[in-house]
Amino acid sequence: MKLLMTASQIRGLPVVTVRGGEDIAEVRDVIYSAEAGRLVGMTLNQRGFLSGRRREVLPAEMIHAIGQHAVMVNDESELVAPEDAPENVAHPATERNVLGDDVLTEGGTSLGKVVDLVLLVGSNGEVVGYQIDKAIGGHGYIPLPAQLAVSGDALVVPDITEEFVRDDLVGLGAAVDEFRDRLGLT
Amino acid sequence: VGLLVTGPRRQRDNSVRIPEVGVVGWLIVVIVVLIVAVVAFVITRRRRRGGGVIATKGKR
Repeated sequence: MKLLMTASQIRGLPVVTVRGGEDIAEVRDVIYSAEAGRLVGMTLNQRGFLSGRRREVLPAEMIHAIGQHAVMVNDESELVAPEDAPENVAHPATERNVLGDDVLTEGGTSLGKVVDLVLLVGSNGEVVGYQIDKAIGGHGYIPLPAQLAVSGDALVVPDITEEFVRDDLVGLGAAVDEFRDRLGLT
Repeated sequence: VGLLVTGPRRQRDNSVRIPEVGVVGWLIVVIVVLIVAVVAFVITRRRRRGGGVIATKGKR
């Protein structure tokens, strides 16, 4: 079973080096590309209650692991100046956000609206599902294929996604592999 | 050492006491100004520290 967390839970986590165990920054923005189906990076705050934004950003390929309590990087040199970072991390486009989009099955059933991303704990940013506000009320979680083209106003998912809507992250963790098996993706 | 005096007062000898701000009065003013400044600074800073989830989809 996979251990999962939402992208909102990553905000505010410390960024810690694997080599020295130093607490070097704090996660500010979590940047996700729906086309890639994974995180592309993070913007950072300096550590400390009154300290401000940190200039450097953290591209996903520099992340060692995203854990429940910290984001791990090898060392401080993995943080990249904005001019050296990928454009979608240094200057993320905020006007075309997946959050708030309707989730529709290919059969035309509305499952709800996307409210958050669900990530695999221990990975360097693999997004395996979305948290949704269900059309019938309450929160739910849906698994995603490894990649999903999203460009319109609605997120269109395979019909079998409806069978895999879960009420909590533990349930989704158990459902992701089975969902991908059914789609023939593993 | 007096507090903030409310207005001129005629004394028994018919002289008028000019209102003045005493040491304690100034101290209260300084403390209030400092508290307001610190609260404003902390609120501004915490807002700047905010962030979010930026989930971008492809171009049509």
